[in-house]
Amino acid sequence: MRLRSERTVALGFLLVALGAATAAAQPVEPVTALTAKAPANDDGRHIAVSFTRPAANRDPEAGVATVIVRRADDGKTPPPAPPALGPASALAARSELGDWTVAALLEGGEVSLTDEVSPSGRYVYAAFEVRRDGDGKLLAVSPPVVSSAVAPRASFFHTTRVGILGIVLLISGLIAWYIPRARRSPKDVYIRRMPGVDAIEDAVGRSTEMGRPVLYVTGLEEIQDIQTLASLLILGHVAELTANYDTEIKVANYYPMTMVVAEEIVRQGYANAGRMDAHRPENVMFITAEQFAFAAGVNGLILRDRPATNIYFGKFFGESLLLAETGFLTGAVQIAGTAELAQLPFFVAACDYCLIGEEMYATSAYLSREPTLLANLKAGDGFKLAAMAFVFIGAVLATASVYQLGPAVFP
Amino acid sequence: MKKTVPIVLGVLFGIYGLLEFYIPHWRVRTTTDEFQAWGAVLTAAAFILGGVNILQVTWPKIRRRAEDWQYKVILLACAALMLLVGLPWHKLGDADEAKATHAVVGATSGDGGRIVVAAPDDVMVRIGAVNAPARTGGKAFTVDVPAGEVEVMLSRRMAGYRALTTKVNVAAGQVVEVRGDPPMTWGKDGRVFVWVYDHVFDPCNSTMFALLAFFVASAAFRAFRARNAEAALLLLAAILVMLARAPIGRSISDVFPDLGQWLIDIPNNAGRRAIMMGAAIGAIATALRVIVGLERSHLGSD
Repeated sequence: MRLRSERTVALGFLLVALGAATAAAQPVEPVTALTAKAPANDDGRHIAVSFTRPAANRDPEAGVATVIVRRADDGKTPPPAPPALGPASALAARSELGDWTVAALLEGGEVSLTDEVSPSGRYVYAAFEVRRDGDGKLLAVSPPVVSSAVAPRASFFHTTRVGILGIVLLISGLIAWYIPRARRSPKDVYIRRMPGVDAIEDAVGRSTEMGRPVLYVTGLEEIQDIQTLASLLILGHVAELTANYDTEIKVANYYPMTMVVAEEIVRQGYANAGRMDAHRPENVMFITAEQFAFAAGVNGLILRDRPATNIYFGKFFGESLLLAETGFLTGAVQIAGTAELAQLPFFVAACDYCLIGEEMYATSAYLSREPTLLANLKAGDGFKLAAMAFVFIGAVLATASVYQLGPAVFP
Repeated sequence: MKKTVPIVLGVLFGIYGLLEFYIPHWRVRTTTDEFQAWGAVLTAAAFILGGVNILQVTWPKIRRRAEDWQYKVILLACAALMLLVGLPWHKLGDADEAKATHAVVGATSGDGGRIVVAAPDDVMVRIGAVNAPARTGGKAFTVDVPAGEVEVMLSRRMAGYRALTTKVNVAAGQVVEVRGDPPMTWGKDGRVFVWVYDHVFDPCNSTMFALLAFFVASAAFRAFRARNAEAALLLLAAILVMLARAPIGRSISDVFPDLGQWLIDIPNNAGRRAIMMGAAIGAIATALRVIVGLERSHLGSD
């Protein structure tokens, strides 16, 4: 009885092994429609390769992968023959197969590839479908399919960014149109009052009366972020104001680079006020570049020095409420400004004044009252009018179930 | 001059940055990469200035015994400690030269060979595709392998140790012993640095983050007091959204989840989009006035 069952098991193993061997020996169908072309809006260092895989090879159980190989082509000699893949062929990307180089081994059923190449040169691609065993050893290889030679093409203009360029040009044009008008009659340039910005001077005055410092936080983003830049522009005005009022200003920075620039700006603010003697460089501080360690550091500063005014301008994240709520507990006047949507509710809840999004960007111009900067604000307003018109037209069209106009206008 | 040079440089690099966005050509990209490398150098240099600034700010307070000066001592001590353990000291010693060694120590019967790994108990052993089970009492791990080349890797589960890998050529009937002890490394991925980060800094960081829950509660309490019509509207919207999100809302009425979602999807979304569009236009306008040198308030006068 036992002998019979052992025979049955052995027979089963034999059948499975035979089945596997048959599957391994089955030929693999090649890919079709192999095309290689330079992608649009490319920097000249890529070739887009695409192909169609036979239906039989798409089944993950079939264990079929695609090998894409590339060869430089001088355009003179006849097209080179694709390499012969054997069990010992290395198929990892960048492996050399004679004159050919493996561009990619596509194991996830991908049917396209963007290959990085040298900008000077023409390239021929060949694709193989391969079946491998569990150890990656080749069991079967399809006949190669070869593409025509193609050269990468570097573009000089990114066509999909034409819309953004249009916006920039429109705003630039509006600025150019408003500047001479603002210079001719600055008083005619109407800018609505911003209570949050007006409150800065009152808050600095309050600090002076109370003999306590002003705390300025420049946000938690690098200096190249536009919100940090806007914050630093406002810092110049606030520093000049504190210098005029003979009040100490402490500036907390998240990045050393921001600290270096902020120190220079505060120094300039004191110089503009003619109070260089009152400038204390050590009051512009680098706290740390770790989010919650920064929050702990600034909270310590707030609780120890008890600033009468806390100003938070820039990009903030989860620590915004930790800072603003601690400032609230010390009874400071708090003015915040950020374009971070997720943090605005926290600042609105915990601060006395909150500048929302664009208001923060307008603050520097609002404080300086320079005609050229006011013209910039008017240009922004002009563009907003245009945007509102677009939104209105879009809403009307969407209500009328017209959705295809967009691609027609902006192909 | 003091003002003109920064403005000219700002305008030149600003306009380049603007144009670069629209020109994908590889020569432009290469130049941009070069400029970014300059920026990285400046940023790295700024970190040195940041360290100097920390000393400038804290040392006088320690000397004057200002309020909470003890914390400044801890700050400087911790900064010095992290600087010390963050340096790759192992490069001075022989840790980089540590290797897993192997030698034929005996014979066995059969077609294949045998590998014996002698390593401390906390060392993870992988022979080919076989992972050794946990060991105690300094027992060696033994595995029979087919004749041929086999890769043996010795590593530790905890971070901060360098894994040792060796290729062993086992002939049929050979017993090969592999010995090795993955060495501890220093530096930012080193054992001490990672340990301090994981066991000291990370819990403190999480504690600060967890405090947010209490701050949210106290801020929400203040924000939702119905002092005027707008605050009352805010309170009403908050109650509706809370009822929509909390299970009690659905148990009262099926209307609450839909109403809460409508508030978020329609009025809230409209407001968010308006702020986003305004902020984007403001950002473009601000960037333009800095790029073309209209904004000079941060530079002062000549």
